[in-house]
Amino acid sequence: MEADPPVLGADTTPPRSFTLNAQHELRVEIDNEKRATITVLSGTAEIFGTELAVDRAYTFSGAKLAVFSWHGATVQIAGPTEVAYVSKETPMTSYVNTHAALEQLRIAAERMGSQSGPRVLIAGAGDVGKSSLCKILLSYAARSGRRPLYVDLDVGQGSISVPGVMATALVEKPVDVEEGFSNHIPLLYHFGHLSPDNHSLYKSIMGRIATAVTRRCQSDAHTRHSGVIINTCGWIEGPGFQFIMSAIDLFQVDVVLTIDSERLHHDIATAVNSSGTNNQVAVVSLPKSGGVVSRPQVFRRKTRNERVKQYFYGIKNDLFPSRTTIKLNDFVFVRIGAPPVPASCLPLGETPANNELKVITVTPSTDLLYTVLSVSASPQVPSNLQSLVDTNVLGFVFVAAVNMDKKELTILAPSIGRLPSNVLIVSAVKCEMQL
Amino acid sequence: MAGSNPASAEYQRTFREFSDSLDFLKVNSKIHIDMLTQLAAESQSAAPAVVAAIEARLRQVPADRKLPILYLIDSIVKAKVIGTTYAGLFERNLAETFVETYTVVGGEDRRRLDRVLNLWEGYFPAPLVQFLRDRIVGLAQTADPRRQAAPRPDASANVRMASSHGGAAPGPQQQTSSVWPNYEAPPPQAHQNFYAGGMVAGGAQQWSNAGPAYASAPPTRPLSYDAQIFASWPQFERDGLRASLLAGLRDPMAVHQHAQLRRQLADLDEAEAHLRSLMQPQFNQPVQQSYYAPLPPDAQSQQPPPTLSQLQTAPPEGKLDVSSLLQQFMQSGALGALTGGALQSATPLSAPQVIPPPTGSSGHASSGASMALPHVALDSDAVKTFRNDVVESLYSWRPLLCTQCAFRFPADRRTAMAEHMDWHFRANKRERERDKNVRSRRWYLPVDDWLQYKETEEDDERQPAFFTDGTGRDGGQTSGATGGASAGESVDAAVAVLPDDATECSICGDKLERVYNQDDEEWRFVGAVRVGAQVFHTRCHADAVTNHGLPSTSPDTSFDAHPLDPRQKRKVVGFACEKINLTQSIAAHGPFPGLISLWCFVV
Repeated sequence: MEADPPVLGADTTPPRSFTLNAQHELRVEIDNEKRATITVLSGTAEIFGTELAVDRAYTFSGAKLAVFSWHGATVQIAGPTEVAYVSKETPMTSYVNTHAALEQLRIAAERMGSQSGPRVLIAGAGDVGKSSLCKILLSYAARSGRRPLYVDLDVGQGSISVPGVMATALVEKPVDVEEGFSNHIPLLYHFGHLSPDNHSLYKSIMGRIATAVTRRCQSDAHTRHSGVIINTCGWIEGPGFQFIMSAIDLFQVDVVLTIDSERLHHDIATAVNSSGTNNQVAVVSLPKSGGVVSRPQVFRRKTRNERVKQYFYGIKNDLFPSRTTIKLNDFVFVRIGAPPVPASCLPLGETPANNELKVITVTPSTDLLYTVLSVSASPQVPSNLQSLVDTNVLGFVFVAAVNMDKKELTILAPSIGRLPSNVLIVSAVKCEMQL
Repeated sequence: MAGSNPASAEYQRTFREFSDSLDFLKVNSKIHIDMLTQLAAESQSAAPAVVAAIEARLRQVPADRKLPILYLIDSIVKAKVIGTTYAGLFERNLAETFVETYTVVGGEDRRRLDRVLNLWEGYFPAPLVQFLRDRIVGLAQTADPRRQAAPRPDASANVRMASSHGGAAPGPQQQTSSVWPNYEAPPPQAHQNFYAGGMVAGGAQQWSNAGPAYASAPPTRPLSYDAQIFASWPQFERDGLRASLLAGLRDPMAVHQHAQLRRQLADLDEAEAHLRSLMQPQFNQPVQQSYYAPLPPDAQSQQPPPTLSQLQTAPPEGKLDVSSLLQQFMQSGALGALTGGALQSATPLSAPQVIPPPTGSSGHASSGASMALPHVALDSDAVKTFRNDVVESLYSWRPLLCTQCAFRFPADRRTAMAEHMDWHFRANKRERERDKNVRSRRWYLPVDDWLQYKETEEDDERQPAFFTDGTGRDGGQTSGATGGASAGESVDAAVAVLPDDATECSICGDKLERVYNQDDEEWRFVGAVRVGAQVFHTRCHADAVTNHGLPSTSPDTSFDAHPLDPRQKRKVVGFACEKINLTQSIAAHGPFPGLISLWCFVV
């Protein structure tokens, strides 16, 4: 019976009720700075596969979402929305059937015992609803009593943690409609860029995560039978396509779901059939939701900034980060990957070496301002710096101020106390946090 | 109370919610009764709505489903804290509710109702209980609706009860005039307090009639109500309760509860003595049935949840046949959330063909009802066809709906459902303490720890929580191996030892652990919190605040008030955790000294 949090900004918009017939969905967009609540008054409704409790007000800010109903529902929205309309055309039938097909594979794996459940990779161009489909399939799996792993290779969005990292997390409950994956304990690897420009590093980290996934599945039968759902970034041509093929190989993917691209479906189907290593890969083409809109670059940047802010302050703004000052001398700053040396600078006859995986120490400067630094899981500087590439990260700090005279950084850390490592990995990701 | 006005939104919502939840209560199940009692406790602000929902339901359900609802009433009025409020509300219509139920149920259930009534003394006004007692003695002689020949034991049981309660033969009350003739169809309002004038007549006649039956009845003392419940528990639960009761008796903060704790302890002793007596071979009585889910004593250690199949095999009552029962069961689960109306689509939820075989999933706990999923080929075209069963595998096949988070369980996973509700209860409690807590995101785990990490709902102590904060107690502590987090915690949860401090926790009286801090060259109490001049264990204090209404001298304010030595104050500044505003410089920031002690609650 707790009261719902008051809507910020003294909004005068009266609550609006929407009636959804069976298999209709209410598409809602809520601005980043605004806040609105969605309440199911009757019927059944779900957001990205997670069923909503009746009469509970769910609060959203900066969200594009769809409230879908399988049986019909009355939904009330309070607070300002950019867009709110009911649509009758959704791909949910295809999505729930896909879930049922995956569920059959899980049941089969369970019967066999040692066999692994479906390892699903979701591919498609940007803005086709890949991460939404991931959430739907993960939530449906959790609702069916499963415990799958979610692997997010989309470095631009960082749906599990912050942009610029590659991560995996165990999904034991339907994805929280308000908090997303933010309450999960993920396994994170520092990539440091918003697109997979550093090919070698991207592939290397995919390999690390694939190893972790395999180990997890070996020790945990429930997860092994539940399988893995892999999100990829929206780059599907040239090297992007090669990354998808690498991921299929590394994660031993046996189901590929392509969204809204006959071409990609055809290409992947051809590639997996021609390569002898992947014996059985089902490639399924799924429609995209009409609710998915292409996000302008500005929105993406805002969303990225929002992700970083949410890491420190929580999605509901209820976490307390710690602002502290650290001495530059107490820490080692590194960057992974060096720009290739121009051939003209090399001695005659030598080809440029691949420095993409090289760990380079960085001399701190004012360049660090507003950078997100990854805190390595290596408690102290390893004898071989190169091992940092394969080491996961424990979290992030944000550089709020640089004082070169005092040789100090003012940082925002997630929690109070000493940082768990004195190795900080510099990211190319900068954040314009409006604090 | 906003919730007491029937027109208020809260009343309406609570009424609806509670009615929906009552759908689960089809058979006598301790788990569900506990769950609903908990829900009643949470809905106390709209208690009249809860009472109205229960009373309405009791009127609606067929005779064979009334007993569990009366057990629920019983459980609610005997619950701690809320009991009195609810008893006052149930009291108004109790005579109607109880007698009406008694009139329609069969002999076996009547005996159980007798037992319930027997133990209502002290919870409801004595004259009311006496009135009911007298009333049912009269009813016991009327024909059993099920035509089971069992009036005699009923009567004897009543008399036994009556006599075991000291003043059961009230002289003056018998002289008052009877309102009974008016009873059968009175306007509901007329029932309010109608027993109060001592209108407990008519019983005398029945009393004397039943006399001979009593004389021949075996002189066994019936178990007290609580004792019967305890007797139905597995041994380890009784042991756990005993331990917590004993702990409660030692807690000086809970003096006002001691009488109740002692009573419970006595009931527990009684239950155990009774169970021991059942083990003796010379015992030739019919076995004492446990109170909630009826079971013979040899099965009491494992109390199986009632299943759908049990429902099916229940004797048909009147026009209620198996298929309609099943259908109701279906609807209750599938449409539990839909009863608010406004559902316009023609949903095929109630169609019998979507009912999975009830036992089909028993061997596959994790997959629930998914065993009967229709085959869907992983094919771009095959997935386009709508299949109702696929959708229902996520909805009506999992009829146990959590009203808080809408997570669903299959019908055969009541225990998991109960654990889930339990978890919510604890999570909500934590949520309520939110303002007192300063929470932060913890550092994540090194790969090897992550591989071990699992959020297990059964073991709340070790989980960072589904739907709660991201602070991940578990996570932080495990990663403490790397140094940072654990170092921070040990400092956070410690307070400096001042010269005048006692060496024991002022709440539990146990010794406070002291460590010498090398860096600051001072002794500290570990896992402790300072409130005013006193030092408590962090847990004792948190517990006292939440459970025993300790005056909310929040540690932060008193922390300021306490004359700290300057060194301590400096440290506080050093560790102050604050909501950062990056637009302001650090220097401009005043630290929040209280937060350091508040922090203790987190760890």
